Amino acid sequence: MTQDEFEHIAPALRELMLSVGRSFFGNDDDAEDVAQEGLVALLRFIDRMESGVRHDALAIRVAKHCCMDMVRKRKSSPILALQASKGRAVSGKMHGDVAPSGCDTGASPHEHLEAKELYEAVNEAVKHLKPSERRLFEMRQIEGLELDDIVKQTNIAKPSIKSIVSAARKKVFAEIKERLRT
Amino acid sequence: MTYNETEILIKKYLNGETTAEEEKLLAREVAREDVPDDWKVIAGMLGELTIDEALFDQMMAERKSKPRIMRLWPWVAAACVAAILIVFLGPPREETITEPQIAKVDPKAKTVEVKGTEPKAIEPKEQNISQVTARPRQPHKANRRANVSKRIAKEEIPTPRPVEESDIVPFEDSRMQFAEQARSLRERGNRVIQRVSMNGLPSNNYQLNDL
Repeated sequence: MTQDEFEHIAPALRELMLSVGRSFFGNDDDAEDVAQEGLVALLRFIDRMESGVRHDALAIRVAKHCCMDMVRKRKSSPILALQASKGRAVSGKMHGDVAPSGCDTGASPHEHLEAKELYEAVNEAVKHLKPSERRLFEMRQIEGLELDDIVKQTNIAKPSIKSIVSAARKKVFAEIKERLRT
Repeated sequence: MTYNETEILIKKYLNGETTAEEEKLLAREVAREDVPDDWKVIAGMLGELTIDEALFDQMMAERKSKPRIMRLWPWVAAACVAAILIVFLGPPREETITEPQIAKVDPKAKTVEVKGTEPKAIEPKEQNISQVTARPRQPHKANRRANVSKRIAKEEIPTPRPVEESDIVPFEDSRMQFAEQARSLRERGNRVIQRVSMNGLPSNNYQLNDL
């Protein structure tokens, strides 16, 4: 997708992200932050986005990720948390931003390093996949599309998609394990 | 989810058979702290987007479920208070139901009614006579009763005036209605006792006398 095409669909995606941010934080300021960060993240992903296809599902997923990212940052930074609590008091709508179980808000540097290694290993493993495998793997993992949606976009039969995705996942899993051992 | 359930879901995921919802469930499990290394690899493969989406949905679901429980309490309390008020402060049931249906009969019409009904009960002479013959144990009493009934039948009985709707006056209070009915019963009983004693029969009905 070109930048012009992205600018054309950006207002609609921004509205979607704003609604996600509003429903989560309950105020417009935080929702604006979510939309802003989400659009920047999508702009980085522009070369993998196909033109002529709706990217609403991806925008919503990115917005949700931005919401959780903001919660983590506020949890780790007392100043940001204080600002957030002030904003909550003013708006009266914001719910308690308690980090959910599983969020490593207080992760140690060692854990950060491990997470970074894992992220790089996954990226490397995905790069080694065949183009068809990589495309379907990313459609499932990044865009979060269901099988039916992938069938519509690619015109590939469901069983074939399942087998390709399965092969791709097993390859990536094996390669990551191998990398992490060494 | 148990360890085995998560392992099964991981196998399903690697076979490409999981739905988006199952992947979210799996993401929540493998994103926890202190999980096996294989689970961490799966978490890396699922990616931040899937994990954050799963956590986001979980948080939103928890938020939605909590306020519902809190908001129900005022309504339940209000319903209880309303029920108590209805039970204790509501109007008595008797008044509302019986008041319009029960009517007071004019005392004049009553006396006529009493006179008209009494002889009817004693009227059949032949029947009484046959009863007397049928009961050999109490021959004297039966003969006396037959004589009394003969005398009553001879008296001139005025024809009773039929009770009209205008004679019926509804009671305003159920207590007054009850007192009036009791009084009329007592009067009727006294008249019966008086009549029987006048005819030479002893009054053994102490219940009527007590009234």
